[in-house]
Amino acid sequence: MAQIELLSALLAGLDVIAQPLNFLLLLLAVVVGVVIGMLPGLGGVVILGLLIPLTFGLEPLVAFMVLAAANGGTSQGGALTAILINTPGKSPNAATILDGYPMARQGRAGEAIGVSATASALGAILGISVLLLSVPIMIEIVLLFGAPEIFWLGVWGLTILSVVVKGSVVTGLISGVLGVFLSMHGVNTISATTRWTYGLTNLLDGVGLVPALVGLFAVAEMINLVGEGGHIAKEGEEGISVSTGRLKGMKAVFTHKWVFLRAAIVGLVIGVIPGVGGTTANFVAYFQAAQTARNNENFGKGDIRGVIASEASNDAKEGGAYIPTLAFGVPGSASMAVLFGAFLLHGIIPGPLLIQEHLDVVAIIVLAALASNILSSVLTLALAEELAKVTRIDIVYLAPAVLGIALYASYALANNVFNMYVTMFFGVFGFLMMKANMSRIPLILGMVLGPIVEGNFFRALQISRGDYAVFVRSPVTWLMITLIVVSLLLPYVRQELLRRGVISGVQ
Amino acid sequence: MSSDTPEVADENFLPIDPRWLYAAFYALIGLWLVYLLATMGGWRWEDQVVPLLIGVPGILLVLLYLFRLRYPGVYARVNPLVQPVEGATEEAALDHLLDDLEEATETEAARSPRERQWIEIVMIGWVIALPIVMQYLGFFVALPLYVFTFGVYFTGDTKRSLIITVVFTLFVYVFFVTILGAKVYPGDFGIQPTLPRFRLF
Repeated sequence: MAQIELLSALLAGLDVIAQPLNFLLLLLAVVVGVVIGMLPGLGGVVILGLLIPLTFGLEPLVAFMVLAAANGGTSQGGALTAILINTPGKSPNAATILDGYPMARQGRAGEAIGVSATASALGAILGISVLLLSVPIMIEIVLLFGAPEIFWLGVWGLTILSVVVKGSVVTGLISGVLGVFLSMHGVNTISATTRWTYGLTNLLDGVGLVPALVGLFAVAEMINLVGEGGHIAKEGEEGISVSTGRLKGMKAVFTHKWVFLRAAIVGLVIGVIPGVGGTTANFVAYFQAAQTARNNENFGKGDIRGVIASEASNDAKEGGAYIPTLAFGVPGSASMAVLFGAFLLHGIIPGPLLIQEHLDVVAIIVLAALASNILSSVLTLALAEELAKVTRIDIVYLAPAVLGIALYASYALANNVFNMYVTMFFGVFGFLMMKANMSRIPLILGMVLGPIVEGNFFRALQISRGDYAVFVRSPVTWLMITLIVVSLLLPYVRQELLRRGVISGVQ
Repeated sequence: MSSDTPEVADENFLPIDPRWLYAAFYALIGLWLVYLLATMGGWRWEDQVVPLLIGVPGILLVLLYLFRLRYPGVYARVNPLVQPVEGATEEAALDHLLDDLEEATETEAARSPRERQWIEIVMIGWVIALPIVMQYLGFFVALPLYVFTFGVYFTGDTKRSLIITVVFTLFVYVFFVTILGAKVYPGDFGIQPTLPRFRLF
């Protein structure tokens, strides 16, 4: 019966989208999403925050269609800049940098964009399809992940830093530690204690993740690029060319279909877990691809499988993130939390009753998300050549523009001037990290996972009334602990196997 | 760790052995972590436990890295993850470590190492100046001023810088103010004019 109602709602949603004016609005929203997604720091959260008041005057179904479409476009736009100029449009795209940008520097940008667009579109199709088919099953799985399980999941994310940062495990871990400490600044949500605000009231809310991310990547990269001089593209006289290779990239997803499927499933599963977020999902998917792939010595140096893994996960997780958001009223990601504001603005109460009372809204959101992912992939494939011209601009003209947009984006997040200074600080610090060969990725991961780890640590103790056995009670916690131990030991095991000549390749 | 070598002075703008800079960077991080842990006095247990669990290993990692900078040969011998160095002497290990560190940002640069260091220092100044200018002058006064002076400073091409400034400022205005209706910071000095808004929706 529920399936019939869902089908009716989907058909009604298709009818809304098919109207010419509405389709044009959807297309415009996708374009806006892709372009906004390309701008450092302006991801789904900001675009939704800006579009919600803008769409208030539209019909509710059309409004939600526009919001979902714009949000869906940002991931592809963010992937484009991650590949072309080593700057993630939003934090979940940071994993794409690891192999996407090296590919671009090797003159394989077209291939990277082709694989990114295809993996994204197929990942989105997979994610949305699973969303529609597995709601009853997902309800049971999400219930298995309580505070102790989410705590260990966060710890696992932090420990596998040592695997990601090849060649400098120590500096990677230091970077992660810094990230966790930065995440603990401000008011502790558990105890309401104020920690490390240095007397600044603006730090009561902690150090903003998005301003820090924008500074670490966009600002720091601009300092480095201006220091280098010339253009962003370095390989070949033509700079980063995307005129060739896109078809090859598209085919690569099917060549490495198992990499794609595993990563998409990882993204989908992690996306389902509330609060863990896209950044974790994409890095976990990337890590599992790097760890399980044969001949993985090129991961981090332009291995196409790295881009497949991160992008498949990036869009599959969106389908997963919608599950707790729409089914349980628990936001699956930051942008989903902002979407709740749109619900309230249109008189819809988010929660478990949403699916029962507003199935049409659920259907239109699902359809718009699917359409936007496909359209944004087509858009980037078709216009990658034009968008790639950004990388041929003399960096001296691009840098102040990027810096201006980055600082404005930080300000626009909360209309707070202080965020601009946060971005400035992290820009300079991020540049110093680059000079000291300390990866910035673990720092961001630490900022994302720190609150998850700490919050769920105490939540678990509260639930168990101080009994620490809660952390080793369930099979899921044991699975997580096993993964942590394996991740920490794997580099040493692999090095020993290399030394003995059991496996080939250089770490 | 001698820094008084002619080669270092000629190659870099800052006449300092790079190991001192790396050591200073990591030492500052270590000191910051120590400061954070030291200021936890009087906090409740819930506020201290995770920082301690993360901070103590973090400080040890910093000390480990400083040890690596000081004794790279010993470090390479005890850490199985570090590639073995030919010659296995401290000097060879130090050269290997410095090569790794310099490779991190080495590219086919258009500038010499000396010029690059100077430009990077200047760029840090430009980055620090931007939020200050935006705060006091307002976004739409600071942005074109910044883009224009930046272009003129680094290229000397006034005409091209002006064209790019106008185009970019118009784009930002149309996209952010007109299409998105975003708020822009007016500036503490209040000199930014009220922007006309031609809303499309």
